[in-house]
Amino acid sequence: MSEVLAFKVRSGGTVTISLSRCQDCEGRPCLQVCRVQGGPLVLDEARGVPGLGMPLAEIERGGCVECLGCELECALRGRQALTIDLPLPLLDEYLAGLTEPVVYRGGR
Amino acid sequence: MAKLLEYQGKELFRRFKIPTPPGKVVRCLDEALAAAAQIGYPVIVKAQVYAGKRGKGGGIRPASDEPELRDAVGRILGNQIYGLPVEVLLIEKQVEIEREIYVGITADPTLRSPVIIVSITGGVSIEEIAQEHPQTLIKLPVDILRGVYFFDALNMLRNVDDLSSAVKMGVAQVISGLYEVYRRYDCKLAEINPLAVTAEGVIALDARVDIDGDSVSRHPDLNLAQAEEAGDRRATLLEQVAGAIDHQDHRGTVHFVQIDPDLSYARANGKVPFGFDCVGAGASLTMMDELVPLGYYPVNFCDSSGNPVGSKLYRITKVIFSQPGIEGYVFVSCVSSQQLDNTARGIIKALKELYPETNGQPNIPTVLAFRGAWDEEAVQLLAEHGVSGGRWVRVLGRDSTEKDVAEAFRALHEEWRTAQGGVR
Repeated sequence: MSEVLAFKVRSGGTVTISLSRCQDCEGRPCLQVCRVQGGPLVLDEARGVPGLGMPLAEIERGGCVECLGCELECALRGRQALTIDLPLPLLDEYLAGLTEPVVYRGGR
Repeated sequence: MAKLLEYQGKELFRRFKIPTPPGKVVRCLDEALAAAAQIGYPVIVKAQVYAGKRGKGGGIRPASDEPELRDAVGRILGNQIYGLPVEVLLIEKQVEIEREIYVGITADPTLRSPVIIVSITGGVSIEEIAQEHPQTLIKLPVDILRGVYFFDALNMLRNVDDLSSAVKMGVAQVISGLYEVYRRYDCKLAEINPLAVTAEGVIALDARVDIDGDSVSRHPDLNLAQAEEAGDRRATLLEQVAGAIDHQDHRGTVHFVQIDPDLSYARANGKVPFGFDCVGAGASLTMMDELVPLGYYPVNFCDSSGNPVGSKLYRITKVIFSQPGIEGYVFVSCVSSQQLDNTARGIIKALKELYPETNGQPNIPTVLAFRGAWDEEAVQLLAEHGVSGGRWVRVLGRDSTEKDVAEAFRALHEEWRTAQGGVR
């Protein structure tokens, strides 16, 4: 299975799940944390991978509370299949204009 | 509050039929010369900065010919007026003033309504006039649901003896237009000081328009930066980055302002600059009561509260760490109902992206204090994800006080500085 599940969230980010990696994930930690938060991820019973339990429009309206738990749990206990891209408009432009490097890029 | 520059305010005035002098916005001498040639001498050169009393500060100069214009532009452009750099000028046609009038509209908290204020004797030192000669001010509280009709404005001037009917009609037209600006653009203040009486009629020589900062998103046509109010200076690019976070998501807030954007204050005063985030503005004050006397100085203010989603904490943590020269980072929550496990997740994701080589462990002293709802889960998450195991990280829980946080940060910073060779 090479299918990718991707959906937009309220703040302008994108959640992407590589479902091929999810097939042999036993604990499905993303679903556990999402259930606690009342979020959109549910088990797709037919395929045994994460699916969506609410319409895309509802997710984008705020149905996903962007707790980030799915990504962190997947990275820690799952198959590193899930990423959340959260763009910060203008940050790269700001960083490019700096004359002194920021601390996480070797500055101090 | 979002303040418009004079030329921006005058653009709004013209939309509502308030007369303004012919003028052009310029950014260099060549543009100024071309503008004056088109408008015709004599002209006035006006610095476009967020400051009052620009004339007294040397920011407004007349020019009757090209040499005078060159001199005026040279004295203003690129210099500072009250500490504010002048990057933009307004070149305007000079008008013959017969008389000056003041017209302003602001919110009166005692009346809980807008109030229109007119001073027939002009607006020089209007604050002093209001205190010493309040009887010379004509005021009209406005029923905000009814609005202002032309005859209301005209009626304000009925007892003024030394204005002609034609001038009164002109002033009333301006008052009506100014109220439209005030209401449609959610202003806190709309002011014309002075409104000049000329042979050709009344004309607005200046414009001050302050818009409620919370309404900026309602006015995309003004193209204002979505950033927290930062006094008289323009929002920095980093503040605009942070402002966009709340603009695109209403769930919780991350109010971010750079206190010392270039670290000049901290460095000039021997203070240690650090990045700061606090849940609750009140807690940030008590935190500063502990940290500032120890020689630390926050280069930013940030209040991430109202139970923001984890993605907001992720974004604002990246913003705070993107301030060059910081020698530490402090996060403190007040005891509140904020879901701190989500807060922690945002911080963890940000640190893991900023520090991939160390799996999220920062290279500067970092103290994180979680006190409130889901605080134990937050502390546990930082441990599970390996952040709290970092050499320069301390994570404190619900029993910690602001003093504990400050002492932990000082101990960590002193150790870190020693490891750096003891120099800054």
